Amino acid sequence: MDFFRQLFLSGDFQPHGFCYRWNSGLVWLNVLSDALIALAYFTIPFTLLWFIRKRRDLPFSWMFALFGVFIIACGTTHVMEVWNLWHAQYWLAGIIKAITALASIPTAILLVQLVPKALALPSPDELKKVNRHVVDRTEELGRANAELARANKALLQYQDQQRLVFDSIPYPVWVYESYTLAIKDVNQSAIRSYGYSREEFLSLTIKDLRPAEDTPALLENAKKAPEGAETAGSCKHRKKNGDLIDVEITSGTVVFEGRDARLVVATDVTERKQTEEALRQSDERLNLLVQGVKDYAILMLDPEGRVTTWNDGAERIKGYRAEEAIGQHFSKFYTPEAVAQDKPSQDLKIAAEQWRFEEEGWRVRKDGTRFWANVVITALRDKTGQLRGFGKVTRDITERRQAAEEVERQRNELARSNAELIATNNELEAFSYSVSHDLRAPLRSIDGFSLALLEDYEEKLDAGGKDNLHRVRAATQRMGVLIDDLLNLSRVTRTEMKLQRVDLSAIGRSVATDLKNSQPERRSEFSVQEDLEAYADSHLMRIALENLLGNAWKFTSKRESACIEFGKTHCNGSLAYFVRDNGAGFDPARAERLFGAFQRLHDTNDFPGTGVGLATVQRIIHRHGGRIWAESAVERGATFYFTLEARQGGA
Amino acid sequence: MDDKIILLVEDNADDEKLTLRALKKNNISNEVVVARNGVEALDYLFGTGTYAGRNLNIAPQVVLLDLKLPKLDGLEVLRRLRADERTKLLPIVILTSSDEEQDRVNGYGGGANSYVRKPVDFNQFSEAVRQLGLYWLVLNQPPPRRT
Repeated sequence: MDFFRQLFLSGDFQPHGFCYRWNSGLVWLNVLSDALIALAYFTIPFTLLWFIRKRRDLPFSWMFALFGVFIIACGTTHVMEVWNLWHAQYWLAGIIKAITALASIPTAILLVQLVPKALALPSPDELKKVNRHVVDRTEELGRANAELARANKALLQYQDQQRLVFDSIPYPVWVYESYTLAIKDVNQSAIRSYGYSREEFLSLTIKDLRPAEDTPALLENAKKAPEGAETAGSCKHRKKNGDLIDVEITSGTVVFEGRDARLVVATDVTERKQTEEALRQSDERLNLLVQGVKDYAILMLDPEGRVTTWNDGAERIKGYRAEEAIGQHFSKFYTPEAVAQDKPSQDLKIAAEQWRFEEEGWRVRKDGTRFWANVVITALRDKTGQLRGFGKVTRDITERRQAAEEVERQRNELARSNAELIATNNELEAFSYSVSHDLRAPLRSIDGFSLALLEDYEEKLDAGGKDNLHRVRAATQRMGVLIDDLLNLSRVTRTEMKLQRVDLSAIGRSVATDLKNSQPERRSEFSVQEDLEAYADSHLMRIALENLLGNAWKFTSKRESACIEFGKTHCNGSLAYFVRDNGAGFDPARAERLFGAFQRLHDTNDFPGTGVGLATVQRIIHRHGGRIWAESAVERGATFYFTLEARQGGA
Repeated sequence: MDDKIILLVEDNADDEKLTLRALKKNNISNEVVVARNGVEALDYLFGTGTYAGRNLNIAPQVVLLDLKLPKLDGLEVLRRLRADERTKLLPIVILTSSDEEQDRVNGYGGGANSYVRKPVDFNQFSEAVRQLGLYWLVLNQPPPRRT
C-alpha cells in the first residue's frame, strides 16, 4: 500500500521544471516537444492498426501489434515527461519507462529475428513483375473462362438437343434403374402413347407398365440383367386407361445419373399383331379350302421346282401322300421321255418368263400309270418382282380326253359318212340326170318305131303281130311313167327345202279342184278344213297332198260318191293332219308295206299306179321331221295321218 | 312358110328319124337342117368349119336344140349363140328328154325361148312336134332379120 501511495506522491522530490529553473522557454520547449512526440507516438499505432485491418493478408501482423504496444509505451513516457515538469512523481514515470523497456526489448529481439524473413519479402519491382505476370495470367484465365462459358453454353444447347432428339423419337422410350425398376426419364412419344404425364411416369416403376402376372419374371430378370447386353423381346403393356397393348421391346444398359439403368424402346405392335392374326386366319381358311379340293391337285413349288405344299386333290390324282411329295422335285410327275428332254425345267422357265404356263400332256402317277393332265404353272413373285416359287394346278382330264377323242372319232366317222353321203348323193344326182336323159330316149325309139311299124306296115301285119306291137308300146309307156315317178321320188329327196308358213288348206283345195276337173263326171265331195297351216316347204307339201288326195281320189273311183276329207286332229298330244276317204281301203296287216317304193296292195288293173306315190309322201314327211301312218280296213276306206315337226328355221 | 328352115340339133339318129317322121306326119314340109353335135350347129349358124362360106342371110326360123350333145353340149351352144350379135335374138327351143329342174333353170337362164320335153309315147311326141311347127313357123313373128 505504501508503494502505491509513494507512487502517486511527490515526496521530497522537486518537479523537473525546477531543474530548468522554471525557465519558461526551456520548459515550454520540452513541453511542446514531448507533447508532439507523444501525439505522434499515439497516432502511429492507430495507423498501424488500420493498415493491418486493411491488409489482413500481410504476414507478421503480430509484429505490428507488438510494435504498436512499444510505440504507445514510448508515447506514454513522453506524456510523463510533461507531467513530471510540474509533478515530481518519478516512481510512476520510472515504472512506465520500465514497461516501455520491457516492451522494446522483445520487440527489438523479434525484429532482429524477423529481418531475414522481411528481406525475403519481394521487392516492389519484383512485385511489379509478379503483378504483370498476374495480370497476364488473369487475362489468360479470363479468356479461358470465356471459352469455358461458351463451351458450357454449347453443352447446355447440346443437352437441349439431346432432349429434343429423345423426345422426338417416334417410339416410346424410357430409362429405368436396373435394380429398383423406377422410371427415371421418359420421352414425349411414351407420354402420348401411354397416357401418363411425365411426372406420373417418373413416379412409376416398370412393374406398373406390365400386367401383374409379369412381375415375378420381371423381378427375376432385374436381378440377373446381363451387363451391357442389348435385349429384344415382346410383351404386353398396360396403358393408363387400362388398355393392354402388344409391344416389342429393345433395351440396353446405360448409366443414368451414376446408376445402372436400362434404356427401353417400345413399339406398339397391337395392330400389326391383329393384322397378322387376321392374315393367319385367312391363310388358314385358304389352306383348308385348297387342302379340301379333291378334283384339282394344287401345290406349290419353290423356285427350283421342289414341292412345298400338297393338297388332297394332289394325293388323289398323283397317288403320293404329302410327306412323300413335299421336298421332291416336280419332274417326278413327268414321263421319263419328257424328263429326258428337260421339259420340266423348260416349263418352269416359260412360267417364270411369261408368268403362266399351261398345257395338256401326259403325267405319271406314283404307281407308274399315266394320266392326261391339264397343267397350269403360275410364277409367284413378291412385290419387288423376286421369284418366290410357283403355283401348280393339275387336273386329271383323261376321261375328258377320252370323251373328246371319242367325239373326235365320231365326228370323223360322221364326216366320212357325210362325205360318202355327199358322194352317193352326187352319184344319185348324176344317175338321175342320166336316167332322165338317157333311159327315156330308147323308150321313145321303141315306142316310136313300134308305132311306125303299125302305121307303115299295117297291111302286112296280122292281128297277132299288131297286138304284140301294142303290148310293146304299152310296156314302153309304162316304163316311161315308172322312170318319171322314180325321178320324182329322188327329186323329193334332193330338193333343197325352203321352210315357211304354208297354207295347207289352200293347197288342199287347189289339188281337189284339179282332181275334180280331171274327171268332172265323177260325183265327189271334198271337205277341206280351214286354217290348216304348217311351217314347211310349200312345193314338197303340194307334192305330198297331190299324192295323198290323188290316192284318195283313185281308190274311191269305184264308189258311187267319193267322200274325201282333209283336216287335223290331236294324236298323243301332238298335232296330226289326216286325209280320209271312203274308198277301197286295205288290209291293215300289210300296212307297213304301204310306204315302200313300188309296193302295191292293189291290182294295177283295178287301180293303176307305180307304187312310188306313198314312198314319195313318206320321204317328204320325214324330211319335215314328221311321221306318217295309215288306218284302214278292206272296203272301209282309209285314213292317212301325218305330223310335221319341222325345226323352226331349220332346213 | 316353105322357105323357113328348121335347124334340128340332135345326136341321136333314132330321135332324128322320129322327129322328121313327126314333122312329115303333121305335114310340115319345111327344110330341116340337122346338126349332129354342138360344133356342127355353130358351124352352120356362123358359116364356119364344114359350113364355111355359107350364105348367112339364110338363117333358120327356129332351132330345136337337144341338151345332151357330143363335143359341145346344148347349154354351151346356147351360151355361144346368145353371146353373138348375129344369133342372140334367134328363136331357140330346147327339145330334150330331161325334165330336170337344173336343165330348165339353165335353159331359160341361158336365153332359150322355150323348153319342151320329148314324151315317150310317140303319139304325144308327134303332137308336141305339130304344135311346135304351128307355133314357131306360123304363129310366131320372128325378130327382124339383120342385113
